[in-house]
Amino acid sequence: MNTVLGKAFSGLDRFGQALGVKTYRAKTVAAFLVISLTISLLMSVLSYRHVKELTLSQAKTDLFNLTEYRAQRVAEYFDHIKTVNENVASSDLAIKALTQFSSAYSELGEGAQTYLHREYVNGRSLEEKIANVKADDDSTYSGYHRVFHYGFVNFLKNADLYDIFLITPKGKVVYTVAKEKDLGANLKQDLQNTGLAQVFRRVNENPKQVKHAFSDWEYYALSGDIPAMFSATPIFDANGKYKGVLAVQMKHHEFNLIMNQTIPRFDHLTAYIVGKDGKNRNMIETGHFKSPLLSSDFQKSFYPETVKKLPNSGVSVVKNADHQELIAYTEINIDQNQWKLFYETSLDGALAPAYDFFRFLCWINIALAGFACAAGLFFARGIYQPVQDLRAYFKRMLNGEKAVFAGADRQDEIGELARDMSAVYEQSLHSTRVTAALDQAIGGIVVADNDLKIVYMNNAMREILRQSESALRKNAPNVNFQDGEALTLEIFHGDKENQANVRALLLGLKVAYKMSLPLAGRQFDLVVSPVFGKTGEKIGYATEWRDATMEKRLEQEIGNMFKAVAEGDFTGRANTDSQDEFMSRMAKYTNDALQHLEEFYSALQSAVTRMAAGDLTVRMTGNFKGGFSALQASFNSGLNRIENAVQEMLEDNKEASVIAKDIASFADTLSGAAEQQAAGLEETNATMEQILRNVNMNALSARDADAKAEIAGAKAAVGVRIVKSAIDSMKKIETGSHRIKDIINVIDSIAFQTNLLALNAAVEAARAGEAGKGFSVVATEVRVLAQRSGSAANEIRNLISDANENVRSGVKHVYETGEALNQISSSVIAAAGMIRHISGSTQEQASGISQVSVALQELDNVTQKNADLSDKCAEASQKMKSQVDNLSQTVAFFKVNRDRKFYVDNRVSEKEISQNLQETRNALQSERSSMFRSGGRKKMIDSTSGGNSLNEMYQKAAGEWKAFD
Amino acid sequence: MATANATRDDQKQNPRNQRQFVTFTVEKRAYAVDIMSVREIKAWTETTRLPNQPVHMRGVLNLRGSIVPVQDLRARFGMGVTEPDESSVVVIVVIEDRLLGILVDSVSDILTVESEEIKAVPTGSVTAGEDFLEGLVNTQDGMVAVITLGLLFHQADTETNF
Repeated sequence: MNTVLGKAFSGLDRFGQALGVKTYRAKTVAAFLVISLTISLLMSVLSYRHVKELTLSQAKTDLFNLTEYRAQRVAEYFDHIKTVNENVASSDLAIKALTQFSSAYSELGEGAQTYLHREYVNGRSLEEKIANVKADDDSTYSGYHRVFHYGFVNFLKNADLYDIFLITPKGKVVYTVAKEKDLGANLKQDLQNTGLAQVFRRVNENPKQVKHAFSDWEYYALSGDIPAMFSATPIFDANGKYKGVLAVQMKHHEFNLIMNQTIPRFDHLTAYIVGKDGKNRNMIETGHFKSPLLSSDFQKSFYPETVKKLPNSGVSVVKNADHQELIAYTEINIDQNQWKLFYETSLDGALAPAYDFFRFLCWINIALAGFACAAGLFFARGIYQPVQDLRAYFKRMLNGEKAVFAGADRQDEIGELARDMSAVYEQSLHSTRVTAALDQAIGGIVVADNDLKIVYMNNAMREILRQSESALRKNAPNVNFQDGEALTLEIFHGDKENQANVRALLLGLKVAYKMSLPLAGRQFDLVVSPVFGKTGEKIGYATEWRDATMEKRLEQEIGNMFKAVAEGDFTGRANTDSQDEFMSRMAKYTNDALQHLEEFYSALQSAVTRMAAGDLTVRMTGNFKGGFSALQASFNSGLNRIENAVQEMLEDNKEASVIAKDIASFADTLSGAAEQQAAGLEETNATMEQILRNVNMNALSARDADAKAEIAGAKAAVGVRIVKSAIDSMKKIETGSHRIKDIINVIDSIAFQTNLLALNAAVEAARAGEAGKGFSVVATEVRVLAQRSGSAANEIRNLISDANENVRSGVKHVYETGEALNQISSSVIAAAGMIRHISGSTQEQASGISQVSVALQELDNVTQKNADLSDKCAEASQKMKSQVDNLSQTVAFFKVNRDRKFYVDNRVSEKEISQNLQETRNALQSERSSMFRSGGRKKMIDSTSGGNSLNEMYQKAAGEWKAFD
Repeated sequence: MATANATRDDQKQNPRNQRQFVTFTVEKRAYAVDIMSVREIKAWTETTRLPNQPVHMRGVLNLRGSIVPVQDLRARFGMGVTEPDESSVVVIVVIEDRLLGILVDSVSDILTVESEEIKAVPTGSVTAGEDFLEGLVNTQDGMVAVITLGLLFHQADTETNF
């Protein structure tokens, strides 16, 4: 791949040189352009040639087909004329007309032609003559003419002929439709050279064989010199007897129309028919050429000699004057006429589609060239731009600037190149760094080539060289030491002889070699390393120089000093006057260390001496660091603790004796409390018995209540029954009151009627005047009675209504009572159940209480034992007090500072104290709980207060124990 | 009934210028007509309806052989048509020798008063439709309007129907 690409690029280079362009971009564009255009042009030329051939071939085919087609049309036309001619000739009309006109013509005698010309021909236009049915006389001819003329006119018009002739076997033209001067002519004598006479002769000479004849086109003088062509056919009567000839004259116009139809496929198409005589038969009017009919004029420019030699039919390209023509031709044989039909068009015109295609190709190529340039630029940019970038980076790298190679992430050759360049850049950076490091190295570094010639010296080495220049000059007077690179490695090694030995040694080196070299009063350690290349061959030497003069001297001094220290003498000191800074510092540090050691030792010694005499107030003073300081702190802290402990002991001794007394009194209190507890327990026992009695009473009452509840339930049921019967009675009362209401209504109605009667009576009485006065009084009384009975009835009705209302509310109440009784009954049953439950519970309660009593008895026993224990406790506290006193005497030996407090140390020990306290508490706790477990031996009443005071006591005791830790 | 007592007291004194009225109620209001114009008081019975009559005409009834037209006084006063019940009464009156039944809600009593007790209707309160009132009588049960039947039922009312 690479080689192929390489070749391609080198090819591109040569190509660029050939073109005279330099940049890769221009070369690429040019290459694209040339390659694409070459291919495209080649393709274009080939395809154009092919298309041109195809077009030409197609044009030839088309043109020839056209020619054939047109020749066929021409032949059809003449066939048509022939058919018409024969049809007319074989018609009755023609046979009869010929017979009649022949006889009429004979009647006219010698002057027949004159007569006919005078009557029918002269002084009329063609249209008038055709339209003229007969002459303005009553001759036999005119009679027949009137009969037949119209029929022939019909034939003439239908077949689009110019004229129709009836000719007798003797050559007399007895009838024509167009009535031209040939009417009445004798064709055996006149008009001998005309086509009419020719066709007549040919038919007339042998009518049985020559059924039909055509003349050729020629100018016919009698028709006004128009081109005319005649067709003739014999006429036979019904018996097959030859009667004469029927001839027709064709119109040249019709013939021309067929020939000169335009064809869209070809521009400037020229069609022409040429006879053997070389004259054109049709009118040539198209295109660039125009020729009169039946002339050989057109031959000069148009019908060259070559054409005459062409075969009967075919297609050819001929050169005519300055341009080429495409001609197609074929033969047409009409009767005895041998014609040739030509179609001619310009070759350029025929090839027009090919030329269009050529222009199209040109555009394609231009477009392609543009595209190729663009593609070339794009492609070139793809390589050219990264190369430019890499170049820029390389320049920066050479200038020592930081360089980053873009494109390293690409997968193509550009990417590889960028990566390689990055590697080179990294290598150069590395070299720069190494050189800088070497320059600043403390030891001397010398690098020499294979021939021991020095190629590099660092700054330290130059300094060494400068200092020892005078010494070296003894052995090498001529060497310039300022120019280190001109030196060789062996120059440092003594006289010439020694140098030669060293040189031999070095040249043979395979591994690093160490040597010691005294130079100018100093001692150097040298390490010479041969340097090997990647392939293993030696490429030079690297030598490291180290000045070891001071080291040796320092080693001596410090050695002596530490020997003295080992023997317990801290007074020795190193000499700090050394020239060398390192040496001087070394000595100073050593001296400082010894100084500190000595100070610390003396401080420790004095402190320990005083402590041995029992003085606990002494402390180790002085400002020490590190391990010394730690030791000092530990020592002081130890003393602090001892002093503090002794001090506390003295103080606490007094407290201890007080506490011992306290404990004794607590023990007394404890035994008193135990007795109280016992008394309390007895009381509790009595109370429990009382409760037991009450509970038993409860049980009895519950049973009684149960029985009573059952009785109540039964009574409630009876109540419900009574309520039901009460409701029934109430309903009966309601029914009765309804009936009373009805009766009251009757009474009311009677009262109303009575009132009316009384009113009417009053009216009658009033009308009666004085006579009716007494009656009026009676009527009034009656009316009053009626009104009173009405109001009484009303009152009764109201009373009954009220009673009804009361009955209704009574029923409602009774219902409610029934409901209440039902509820009572169910409540009573539920209550009975509960009472039974209570009685059961009471039994359980009683047995529980009995168990409590037993437990109380046991508790009493335990309390007794408790009292004994408290007595023993008092005894023990007395013993403790005497021991405390003994302790006081012992501790008095130590001398302590009573004002001093050591909070730090106390704090440190507080943790332990609290821890011990906790342990003690736990122990007490476990003891106490074990007492409870074993049957409650502790006195319950005093447990809280007694426990608290015990706790305090334990805490105090714990504090004292701490002092002895 | 207090009215009845008053009537009895009046009758005992029996003065010469006393007048007697039959009182009845329509729409809870009390009216009175002169007892002399009353011919009979009947309990309500269904009347025979006649076609094409005004709304206050309740038809006719047969009073012992004579045909009497009945008018609904409530309708006549423009208070709606009476729905007769058990206490409804027809008062048969004579107006200029013609009988006419008047349907009223109930008949109350016979009222006997002194002539001067009949107070004239205050002039401001008489409208065109109430000029048939002769006057007002104050009784213990309230005001009673005295109706002049001749003014209320014109000749036309009694005749045009026959």
